[in-house]
Amino acid sequence: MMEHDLAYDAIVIGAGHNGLVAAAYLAEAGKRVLVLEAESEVGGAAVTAEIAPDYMSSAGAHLLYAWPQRIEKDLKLAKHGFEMASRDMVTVALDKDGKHLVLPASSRADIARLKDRSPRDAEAYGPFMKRVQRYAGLLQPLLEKGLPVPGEGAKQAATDALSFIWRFEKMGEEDRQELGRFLPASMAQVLDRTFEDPLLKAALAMDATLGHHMGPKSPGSAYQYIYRLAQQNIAGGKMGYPAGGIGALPQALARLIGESEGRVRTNSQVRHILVSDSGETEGVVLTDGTKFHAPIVLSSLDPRRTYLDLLGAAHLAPEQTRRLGGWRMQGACAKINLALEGLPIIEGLEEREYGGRWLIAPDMTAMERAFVAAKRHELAVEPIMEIVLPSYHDPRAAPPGHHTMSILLPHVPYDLNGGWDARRDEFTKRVVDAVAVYAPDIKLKLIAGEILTPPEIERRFGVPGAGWHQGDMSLDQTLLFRPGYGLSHDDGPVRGLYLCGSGTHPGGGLTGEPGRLAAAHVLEGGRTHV
Amino acid sequence: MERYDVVVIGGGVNGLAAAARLAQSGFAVLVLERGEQPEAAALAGEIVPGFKAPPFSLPGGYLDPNFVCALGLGRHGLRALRLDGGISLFDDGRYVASYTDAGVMTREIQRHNKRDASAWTRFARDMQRQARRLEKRILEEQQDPARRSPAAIRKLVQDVRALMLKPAHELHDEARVWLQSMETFLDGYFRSDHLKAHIASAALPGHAQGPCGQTTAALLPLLWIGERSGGMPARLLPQGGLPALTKAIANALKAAGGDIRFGAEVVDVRMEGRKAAGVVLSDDTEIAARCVLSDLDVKHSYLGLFNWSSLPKRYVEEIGHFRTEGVTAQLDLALSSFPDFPDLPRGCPALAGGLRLPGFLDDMEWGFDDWQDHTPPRRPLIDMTFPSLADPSLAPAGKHLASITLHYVPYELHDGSWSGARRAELVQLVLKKLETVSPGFIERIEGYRLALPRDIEEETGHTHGDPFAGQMNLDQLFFNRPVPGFAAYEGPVENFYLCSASAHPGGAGLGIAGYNVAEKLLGSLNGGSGLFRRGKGAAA
Repeated sequence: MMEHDLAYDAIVIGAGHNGLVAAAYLAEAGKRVLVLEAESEVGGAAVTAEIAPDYMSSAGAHLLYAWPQRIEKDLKLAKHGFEMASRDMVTVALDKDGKHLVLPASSRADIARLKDRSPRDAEAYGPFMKRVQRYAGLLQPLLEKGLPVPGEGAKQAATDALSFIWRFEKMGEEDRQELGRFLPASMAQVLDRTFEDPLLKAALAMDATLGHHMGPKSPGSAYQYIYRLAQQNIAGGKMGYPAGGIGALPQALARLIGESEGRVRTNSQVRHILVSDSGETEGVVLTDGTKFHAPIVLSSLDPRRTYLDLLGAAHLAPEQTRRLGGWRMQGACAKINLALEGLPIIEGLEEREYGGRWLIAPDMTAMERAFVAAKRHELAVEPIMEIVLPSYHDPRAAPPGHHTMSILLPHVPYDLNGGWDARRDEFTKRVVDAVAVYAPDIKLKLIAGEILTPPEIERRFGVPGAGWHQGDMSLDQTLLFRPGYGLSHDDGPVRGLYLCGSGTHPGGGLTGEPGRLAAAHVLEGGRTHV
Repeated sequence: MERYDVVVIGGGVNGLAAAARLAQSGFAVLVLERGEQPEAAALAGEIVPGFKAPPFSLPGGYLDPNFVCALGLGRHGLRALRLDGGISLFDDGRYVASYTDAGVMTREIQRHNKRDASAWTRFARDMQRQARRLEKRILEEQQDPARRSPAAIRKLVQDVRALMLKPAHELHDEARVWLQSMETFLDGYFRSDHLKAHIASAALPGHAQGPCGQTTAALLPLLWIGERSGGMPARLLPQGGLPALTKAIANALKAAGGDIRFGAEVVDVRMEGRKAAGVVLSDDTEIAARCVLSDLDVKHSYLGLFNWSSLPKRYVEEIGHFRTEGVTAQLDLALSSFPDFPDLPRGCPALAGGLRLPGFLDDMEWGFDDWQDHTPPRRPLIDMTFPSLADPSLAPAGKHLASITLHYVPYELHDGSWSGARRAELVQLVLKKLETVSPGFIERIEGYRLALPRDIEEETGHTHGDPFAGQMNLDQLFFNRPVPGFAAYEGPVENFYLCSASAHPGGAGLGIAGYNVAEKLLGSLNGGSGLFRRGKGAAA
């Protein structure tokens, strides 16, 4: 019997973390699943790769900032060799004078640092966090389960809306009043109103803008902050780093699927999705002509590629095509991974803080300038960064005593004036120089490094425009509008086709939630199919 | 001590409108204006002899016909001009003109892009639909959605239910105009960069926002308020500009028995217990009133007239954070003859509505980023009108007046002040730009006057020279204007009402805030719970 004659219950296109999570849930439920991955390895943007021989780093995404423990438990990932090297990473906002800030400021020592920089802010910090957490609490249930599809007769929609109103009502008058102003506001407006320390404001604004096509002064960025908080709360509120790097996560998921009746097939690029005469999905065709059949197809690619390229505009209504045409995927990032001969020494940093997530963002003005530079297709004079030391958590990532450093750079233009080829070295030098302001010995310890420019990120990880979210997470592209317009689970253009990537609710980030929800939807709502 | 039913602080359009409305309903009303007679001020503003400088005009201030009728302004000398047109001219020599007629507008767009011409119908329909919804809302007092009563909760539940029962695409259609950036929103209709820039540049002046920021699409339907044709909206302007409107309302006020006092600066509010009971002038005159209305912006109204310690702390903070921004400067030019524009067809009728040199959306965003960075404008959005075309009395025979609104001019600079050299540089930049589209322009100039946001602040009293007395972002509109919890024209002081553009609906309609306050007091808005209930009731 040839492999493509095998009947599968479901096919998942793309073995990124969301595709694999969806497939794993289906496999756990006893379905025969086939995962098709175009590249030679699984993981998408979640891979561990070599910078130089013996130096490993998380090539793309480098942090599990909102990875739900629930998924780990549901899928018993520990049994498949997945373990976290660190589950409680703090955020360290680096200061040029060594007066670093540690967030969330929960311990007495961290609050003391806050106080040292600004007593007023130390006082305002607690109430502020409580308020934004209440707002995140309002959003959280909407992210945790599939969204109701609005439309006539949708009883579930009305019920869910009522429960939302109930939570809204419970918040109290002042919170409700503030919320109406908070949502459309910029993070800078919110923070300038509350705090005075530029470093603290920049650190908080980082969570609102990282990976988004937004600066702290962009309207709508405050909403992004709440959204990320809600995602983190779903995950248990802690950031973590897996043993073996980010790539260990998709590896474990792939093992789980392989040990079930499912299968993960790499080097298999899907050319298009097969649709029967009666308008239901039948399976897929690969670029080499191989066909696979299944009544259910889940795509972890972005909505535009799934519907326009793989399904074809012939199956779409003009309205749906228009919506997809307007789907924005911006917010390009770049990545630099460095191999170091030893731990970079940063003045004033305590031992445990080397295992943190470092932010280089001195103030919101610098962040806004970086964003403006990116808008103008230029490099920022002062690059903004998020840095993790993979080797600190995972000694196998580098030879003893040596280290690797993973630098994520938001606000990097996809189309750089003058072209990336001509300016790669300039960019790398600018970044290393900027790190050296904080860790002066870095240039001495630097052994090797690799840079992934936005076009390279697009090619290597299959993320169009090098935006990490398969679509901006703006007000008009989240919740009911992700992707919306008759493109979501229940009212998609053809029956049996589901989106399970970041481009669908609840959106981007390394959360696995879109995959989990899509699988849950297939298993419950897809009764007619499976 | 003199006694009035109502004292209004400030004789701007809103203050006068509130006063006139109340006077017409039989109340004893007094308006106190700090400045001298408005006519005198206009005369003093000559650029060079014979050229009357137009006063600072609010960009796109909409004149509501209902408002004009209710106050009977036609009888008091108001003539409104419907200025059809407006042209955007680009560096590549192409131009887009506005026409109110749907057919003509469509043909105009066809010159640029055939597909866009058919998208225009869809766009104009969507804009009109949104504008009609807004029209209703701007004449309504805003209810605080956070404050609770059983009725309010019932209404909220009904609203949400209705919302959820709508098909997804309708819901999205309605939400996107509030949530998207102008760029994304316009991309959803059009391909021509010229057309997109033309539309955006009509909506942006006065707003401290760039076309690429989220929620900026919400500024577009504001243009369509009151517009019923299928083309680009016309500008409805009082003939003679804002002073003519002020004068007409003042006449209506006087005819109804109300008083105006000029040169009267209010320095304090008289209190009886926790209630406002009149005002104190700078010469220590006290005037008693049953209620006090303020046409000053919200910062001047509360932070200027009251002891901060007597106001709730949160309210003082909120008002402190209310965003007022200086974004526009005005450059008035006295011209010896009407300039030539070789790129435009001879005698193009749309020129009466003004000429804009907007650049494309990216240029506007660039201009906005510079503004945000407090950098002197490198790419200002130039919006030029020729007031003397509509009103020849403004300039000597055969000569013309050009009034330019420069958009994205910061109030303060990050590296120093607006020195004489900096001002001259700005004027040079603008003139150079004009010279490229109109050879011989500079030679025609007989004199000019530049007013930066700080100058406008001094003259109008608006903090930062903000044309709307507070920015019109979504977080400062409707029930959030001026601050959440106090949107119904009332602040924490009893019998003291805010009637300026800092209150709802801001710059969305000339005089509407004042008119709404009057209606609120007359009790006709909330069914009889007004402050003064009399048999006479609402006269409208």
